[in-house]
Amino acid sequence: MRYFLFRIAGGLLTIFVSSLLVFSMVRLIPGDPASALMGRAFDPELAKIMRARLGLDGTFIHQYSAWLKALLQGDFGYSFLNGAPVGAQLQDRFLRTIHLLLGGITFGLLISIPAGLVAARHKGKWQDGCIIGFTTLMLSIPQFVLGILLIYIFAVRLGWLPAGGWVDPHENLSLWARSMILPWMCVGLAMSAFISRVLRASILDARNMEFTRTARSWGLSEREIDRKHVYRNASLPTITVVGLEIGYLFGGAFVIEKVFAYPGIGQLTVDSISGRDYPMVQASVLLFAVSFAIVNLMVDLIYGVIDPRIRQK
Amino acid sequence: MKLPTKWSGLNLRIRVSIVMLVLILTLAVIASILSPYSSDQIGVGETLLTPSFAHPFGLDSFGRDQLTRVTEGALLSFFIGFTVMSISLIVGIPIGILSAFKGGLIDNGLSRFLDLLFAFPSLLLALVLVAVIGSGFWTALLALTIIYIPIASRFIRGAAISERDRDYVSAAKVNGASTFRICFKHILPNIAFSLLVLGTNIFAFAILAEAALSYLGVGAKPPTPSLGKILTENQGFITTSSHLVIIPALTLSFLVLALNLLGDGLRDHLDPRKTLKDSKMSDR
Repeated sequence: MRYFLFRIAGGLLTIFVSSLLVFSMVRLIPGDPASALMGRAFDPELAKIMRARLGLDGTFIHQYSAWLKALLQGDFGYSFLNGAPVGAQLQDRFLRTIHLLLGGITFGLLISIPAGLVAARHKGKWQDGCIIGFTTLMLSIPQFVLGILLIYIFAVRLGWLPAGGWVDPHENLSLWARSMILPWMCVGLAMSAFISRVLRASILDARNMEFTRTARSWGLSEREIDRKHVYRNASLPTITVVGLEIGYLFGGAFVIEKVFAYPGIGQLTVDSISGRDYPMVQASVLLFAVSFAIVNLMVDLIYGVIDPRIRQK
Repeated sequence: MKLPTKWSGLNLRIRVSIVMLVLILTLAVIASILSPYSSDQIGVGETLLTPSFAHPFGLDSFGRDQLTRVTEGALLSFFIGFTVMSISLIVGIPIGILSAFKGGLIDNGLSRFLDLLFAFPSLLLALVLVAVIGSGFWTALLALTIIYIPIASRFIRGAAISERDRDYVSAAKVNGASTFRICFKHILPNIAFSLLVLGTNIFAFAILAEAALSYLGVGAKPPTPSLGKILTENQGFITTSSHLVIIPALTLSFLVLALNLLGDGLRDHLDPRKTLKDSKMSDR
């Protein structure tokens, strides 16, 4: 129990520190954001109002606590570009990105777990060779290049699937699903390579451990040893890597969304960065950091559930 | 671990990857010397011209020679990889080794700072840094360097810690060598090979990250022929002139594949036990 509380506290601390970091970020930008935003049309009166709206008046601590307080009440401020509340825009976009990532992660796990198991079972045979070769290729192709190649093969050459975009699932569910297949494949293939490799390596490692030898000396069948001892031990490094990969995916979301013209939070962040829309940048970067911290926290917690030794420490 | 000096002493992956890298570098240098066009020269022929003898990779939507742009893009990628790698190693080596040795404030500060950095996906971090210092090729390069210096330092710290308690270090201490001398005369040569592996990985990551930033439109500005930028510019023509997209995409993949193979090969060379262990297991 102490282990879990300790981890949760750690996760909350990370979130707090990232909020501080995100908040200081806008203050790090050289010069006054208000005057930078107005450019030549600078007006001291307007700048004052703008600073107040940005939360740039008062001391740093004062500004930060006001921002945090509004944030906890669900008030993310207003976008510079269209004046609409940031929170509402973020919500839709974030849900879409979650759809994209969840589908992709499911796809990735569906291919990487069988691939890792097969490669480990047939170590050194042709099945293993094929899987290793495929993963090396997948690890070397940048994610956006993979996306472009998928579009080229399945949308341009074969014409089977739409090249991307987003359709409202409430209006046309089947078209939505069809247009999601390529982005899901792109997310899934990219993450599956590393996961299946680590799964294979950790199964092979666990088979070589002393406890496996002991189990064998008891006369257990190889199948039973695998089921009872090897897989449980091999799952630990694999879960770490799955967590890491999901973390990378939050970064990868930017490029994947751009490749498939998918209106998720990654595109919103990039657009707000190039448009210098600071309230939007602050909110979306914070959202990324919080999601990332939650994934890491979940990995730690699952770790504790699977391996009782970790809880003891 | 000594650095390998003989070609035949290298494993297959290292040899294949070196051939690949030399090939792509030579081709790129030759093509950019021989090419009568410059990468930003527009209207050298009909726009979106299909590949021909005069323009083997065709022309893009501005009528720029695509071969020149792709080869200069590849050279630019080498430049980015090399710059980020060198700076992060040059700065990371003293920080990493000293924090392994001195511990205390440097060590703690470094660890806390890194924990903070790892709280963000690195591409997001690069985007945020670019947002703070402004977009462009050089700021993208700067942002990548800022991200890789601490990562390199942590790796080097780990490598130095594993050497710290070796007998030769104690012997040097007994002989009255200064910490500085121990760090840079004794430890550094012993971790040089790991640094080579680290350097190769940073090289590949930096190329990928810069391509991604430029692809997103916050890195290199037009007309800089960064491979990522070329891909964004041409992606709209994938249905009509797919070669404009596929060629730079494959060039980038080929480059990264070669660097990954080199990194894997070097790591195997460094730790042959791992491969040995694998082969033992297959005997069973």
